[in-house]
Amino acid sequence: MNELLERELNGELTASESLELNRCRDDEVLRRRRGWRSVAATIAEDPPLRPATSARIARGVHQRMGVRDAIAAPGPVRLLPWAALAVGALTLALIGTWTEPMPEEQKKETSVANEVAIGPRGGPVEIGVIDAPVDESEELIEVVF
Amino acid sequence: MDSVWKAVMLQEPVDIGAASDRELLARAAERDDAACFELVTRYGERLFAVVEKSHGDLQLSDDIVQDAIFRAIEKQTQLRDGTAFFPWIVRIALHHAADYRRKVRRESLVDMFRFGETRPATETLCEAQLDSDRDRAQVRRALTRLKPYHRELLVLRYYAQLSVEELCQVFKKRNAAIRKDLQRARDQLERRLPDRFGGEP
Repeated sequence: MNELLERELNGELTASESLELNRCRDDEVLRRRRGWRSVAATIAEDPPLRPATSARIARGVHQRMGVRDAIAAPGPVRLLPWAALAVGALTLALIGTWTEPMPEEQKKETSVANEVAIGPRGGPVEIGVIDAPVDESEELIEVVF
Repeated sequence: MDSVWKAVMLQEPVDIGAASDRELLARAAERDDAACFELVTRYGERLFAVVEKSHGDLQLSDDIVQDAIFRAIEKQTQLRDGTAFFPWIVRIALHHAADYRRKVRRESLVDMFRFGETRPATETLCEAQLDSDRDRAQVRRALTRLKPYHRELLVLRYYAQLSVEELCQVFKKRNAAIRKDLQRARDQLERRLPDRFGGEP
């Protein structure tokens, strides 16, 4: 019978079960049934301490939406980091494509000029002729300290 | 802001009232103020009552309900069963309530709950009303002493009149588990209300 009472309290009792429960004269079941009828009614009829108004709730929801919209970055700004990355990658790719191998003659000039420019002690160096064409048979580079 | 809402409230779109919950959610997500207001009108006060009764704090209940409706609109695609909007939004609200509870755990929960507050003094109360208020305060106090989960179960079952199936949706539990939990919650409340259950049969 207690099981029937639990089903009644869960709102799952069928009509025949309800009749069966109504016929029950068990003190314990009657006591609990009466108690729960009263408590359930008290809970159901108890209004909130302060009634909510739809306008107040709606205003709060609207404010939250406004705040969300305000802090959310607009579309183009959100895409900015990706755009910067894409531009960077494209630039690197283009540089890689445009860089051609250095001709042999230019390589030699650069290496000689570097040797001269470094100097013996790392101090200031005056470079005499560094743009002259390199001829290995003559001393054409003059360094003045 | 108020003028915006006055304008919204004065509008009476014909089709909004007949729209399904899912349609309203979708329209509200597109910033349709009338749809948002209709959604709040349908469920806002009921949800507020459930949260206020199971959580206890008026100001926090306001925030929780507003947050829950806002989240529901934002996450409207996650609503699987369009007919089960209320259990879904109750679930969102109760999650928020649990978050708030965790935040204030170090503070006195007893102070936080204001069950049993008296009615405004300006009201003229007859004897029957006083008795009824006393009964309500007694039940509220007893509910306060239950675990939050048991309190939520009883409020949803007996105030919001949710069925066991709907409670399963709210708490994501199986039918048998919800029945067992309901039984435990009722046992706990019975123990805290001896005079309501101790009368002559």
